[in-house]
Amino acid sequence: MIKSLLTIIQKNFKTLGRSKFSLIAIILVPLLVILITGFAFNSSGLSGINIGVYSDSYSNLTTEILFSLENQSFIINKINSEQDCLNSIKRNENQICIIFPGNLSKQGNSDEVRFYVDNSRINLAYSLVHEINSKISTTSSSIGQSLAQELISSLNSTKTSLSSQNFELEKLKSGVQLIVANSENNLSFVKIENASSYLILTQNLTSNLTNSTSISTNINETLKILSELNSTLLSASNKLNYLKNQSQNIKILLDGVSNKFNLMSAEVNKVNIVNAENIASPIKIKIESININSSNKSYFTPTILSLIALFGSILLSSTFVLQERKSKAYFRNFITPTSDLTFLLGNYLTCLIILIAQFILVWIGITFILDVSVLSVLSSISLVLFLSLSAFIFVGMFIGYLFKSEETTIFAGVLIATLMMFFSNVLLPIETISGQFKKIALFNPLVACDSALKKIILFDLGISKILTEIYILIGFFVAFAILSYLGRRITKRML
Amino acid sequence: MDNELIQFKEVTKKFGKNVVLDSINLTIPEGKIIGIIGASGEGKSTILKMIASFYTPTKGEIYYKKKNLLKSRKLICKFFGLSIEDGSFYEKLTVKENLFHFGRLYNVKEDILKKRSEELISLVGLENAVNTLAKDLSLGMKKRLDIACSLIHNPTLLILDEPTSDLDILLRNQMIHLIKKINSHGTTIVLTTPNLSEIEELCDRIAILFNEKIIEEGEPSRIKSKYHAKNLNELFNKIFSKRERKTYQESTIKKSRLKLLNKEESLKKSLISDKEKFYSLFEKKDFGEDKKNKKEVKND
Repeated sequence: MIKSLLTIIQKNFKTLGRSKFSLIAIILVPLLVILITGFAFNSSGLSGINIGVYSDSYSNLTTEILFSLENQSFIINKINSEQDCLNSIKRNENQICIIFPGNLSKQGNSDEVRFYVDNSRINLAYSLVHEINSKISTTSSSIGQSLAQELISSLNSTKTSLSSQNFELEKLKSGVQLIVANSENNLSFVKIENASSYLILTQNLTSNLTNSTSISTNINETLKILSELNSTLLSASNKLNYLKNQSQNIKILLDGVSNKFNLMSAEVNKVNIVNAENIASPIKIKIESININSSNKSYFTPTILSLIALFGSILLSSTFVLQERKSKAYFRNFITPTSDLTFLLGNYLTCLIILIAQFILVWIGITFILDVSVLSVLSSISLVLFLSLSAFIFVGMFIGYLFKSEETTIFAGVLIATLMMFFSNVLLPIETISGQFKKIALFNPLVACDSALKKIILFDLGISKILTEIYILIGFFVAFAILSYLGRRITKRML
Repeated sequence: MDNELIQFKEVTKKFGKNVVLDSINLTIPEGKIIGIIGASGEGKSTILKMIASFYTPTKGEIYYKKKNLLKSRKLICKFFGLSIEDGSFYEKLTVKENLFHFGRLYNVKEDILKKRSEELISLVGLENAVNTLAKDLSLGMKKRLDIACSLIHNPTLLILDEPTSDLDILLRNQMIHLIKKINSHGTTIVLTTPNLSEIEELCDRIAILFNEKIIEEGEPSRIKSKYHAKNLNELFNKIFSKRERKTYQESTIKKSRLKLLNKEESLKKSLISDKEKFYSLFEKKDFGEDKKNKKEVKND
């Protein structure tokens, strides 16, 4: 059994090795896909994002924020009005619109910075808001930090001043205590209480003078007492002068303290923070959607239509062509007077009719199951779908002419469709693709189809607003029609 | 020759570096049956496909009634009908649908097409399988359908590439009879077949292809007498002496092998299909269409 098994495996490898194209497709193409996607998605963030900006008046802070966004590779487009800014998202000229309040300042703002996003590009909207918000938040937290720092500096300065004033006050306190003590000492020194004895002595002197007995003694005693009194009064006067000086010093100190308090008050008054919220979030942000009346079902309708068109067309037309090639009649077709172009057109129209029938069913499903009405824009949608289906059909036909075996054709068809899906907004935002790959991806017919359908279904935009997408689809249509024609001519040689 | 229909003048055909035909000259007169003889891989089918303007010569020119075939391909190709060895028709279309499809591709008018398809169905004996899918036909019926598809636009020249290959002796005789019948209606026929007795039975003229060149061309009787041969088999043996044949066989064995393998595979498929059909006849209660098929298979 093992021998048989090995023989079968050996045979399989030999046959696979002898169909080189299949081998390349099966083994090398996935590697190529990894390589391409690896190069394309090698950046961690978003790049080349167009930001529409509007403000009544661009304050210094707004300019500062815009400058910081520009430094982060965002492309800032100043728009003349808020409505134009919103419309620019609908036209896919800008991916986000930021409306700055006119008075945006570092001292806190009552008005919000409003972000307008396209919710139909949900994978972009939130990553973009997050990205820009983080940049604005950096500025905001920097402002908050500087406000807090200002507050802390003021508090620190007050604290330092208070401690120095505390010292001054201590000095004052000791000065006052000294005065009190001095007053007490001086009063005791002056011995005022002795004045009564002086008074008695004076009275005695007076009586003695009346008695004239010991006038001389008494006069001498009185003179002595008066002299003592004089010196006491002198001393008291000196002490009072000292106290006066001390009081003046205290007044000077008190003036100094008062000045310091005035300075502290001025310092504190410098802080213009009205409320705590200004420190916590000096710039307020509000996120709004431009798709006010749309639901998630509407958001995904264009993408669903694009994907059905892509996979349906590529798989149908590629297998159709391959079946034709594999048919015994393929040879006879070449010897009839019917031209290759007629055959090509015949196959294309067959696929188109089948796909149109499929899309009629899809339309019924969208209208009655998803409850999304597209009747009002049916003509525009039909044009975009016709061009997209045509482009995808010819891509599929080219694949059908390129590969020989059924499995390789289906593999290639799915692979091409998946690559197109990868390099579109379906899985990851196209803005996450880096470098030249992004430029190439912008010409992806799936991106053009999806974008055009979004503009029509979600934003009611007319044909004039989707001309770029139409040109891309026509370009693909024509290019792959020519390639399919050449492919058919080449397969003739292989017969 | 006054009534020459096709004329090859110094025609060379290369596929890449591989020279298949080297400066050949060939004349096909109108109203005759011409056989091209040569071993497998010698370039017989290439000649036929060049007449049908499927291949263009690398060098030289081909004329149809003195008109350059390459310069007015679109106008001239409607005068040719080509039936290849493996058949060329849509397996998922019925006999009638195939005839109508190819008739329309040749721009045959609807009323003429209807009449012509009826005539052809009768001519090739597919009256009982008009609405049968081509894939359900037996091998002999498929061959006849292919010839009918080649004749739908009433060509002046019918090109048959090994029309009797893979057919048993009964079917082969039927096919020879059919070819004669078609020729009797005035259609010139060019054919190749590995069976020399068939050539002898059918052809008014023969062309012998060897080493990329036509070494003999003319009436079989004239060529046979030239080489003192009783029949074409003897003629063939005389022309290709043992030594030459050995060298020749060695050089062409590789080319032949692949072709034989392909033939074997297609024969197997056909046998399987016939076998399945045979069993299905016993399984079905309602014989209807299948009875017709059975009849046809028996006839074949």
